[in-house]
Amino acid sequence: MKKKSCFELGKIVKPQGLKGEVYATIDSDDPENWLNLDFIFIELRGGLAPFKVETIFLNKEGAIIKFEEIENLDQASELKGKKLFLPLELLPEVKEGQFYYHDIIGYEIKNEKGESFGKVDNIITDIPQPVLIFFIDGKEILAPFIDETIKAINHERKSVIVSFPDGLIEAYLE
Amino acid sequence: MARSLKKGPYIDFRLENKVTQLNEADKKTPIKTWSRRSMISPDFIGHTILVHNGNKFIPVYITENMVGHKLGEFAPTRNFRGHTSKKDKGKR
Repeated sequence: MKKKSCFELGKIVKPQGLKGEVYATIDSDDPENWLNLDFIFIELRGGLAPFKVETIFLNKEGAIIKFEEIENLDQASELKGKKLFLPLELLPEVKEGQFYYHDIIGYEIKNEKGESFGKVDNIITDIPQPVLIFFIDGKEILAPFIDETIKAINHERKSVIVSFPDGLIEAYLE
Repeated sequence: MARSLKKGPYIDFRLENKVTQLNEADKKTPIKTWSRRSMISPDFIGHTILVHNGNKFIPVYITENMVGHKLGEFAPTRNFRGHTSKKDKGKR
């Protein structure tokens, strides 16, 4: 399984107990959706390895997971800090008007007049305010990814309609 | 120890001047700043401040609930990529 065709579900924080269970964070608004999983992919040495799930239940802000192959504390300790992945097909359908950030990577960025600024390269979400990244003439431009700047997203035309404050792009091109 | 109330909040005077000028001209041009220690005042609301994180400028659109925080809080300087496990480390 390739990393590109998966999304990050969470991360193993620490081993839990002596029987090989692990405590993992679940990066989801509805963690209850992920309680009936057969397999979870774990990032090991740059690749993704499938691990069969024996039990999984929610605990505090994460979940306690028991994998079939992991039977003791030592084996569980080796998984500490590893990221959990699932195939993109398992993502629930989003409601109308909603979208996943990874869906719009590669979409064309246009302003309301139709001028194109390039394509969405990435969206940084692990900071207090999400940031949209794109390139103009090889220079990286960052823009706030918020309602005030993102006016619409057209999935049919694969475009993001933006309204950046005057001078934002020029500030990065200086 | 917290900053004395007598002094008022710290805001870099060049940054404060630029925001005041933009407010008077009713413009929302983004402002580049290195002053991460400046406190966000109500005058900043609606402006986009490009806060330097030591590597690049992170755009921060100022909203009402950011008032009272420092600019640097919205432009993290570190990018956590996880720890290297003993097994991942190379041998000498």
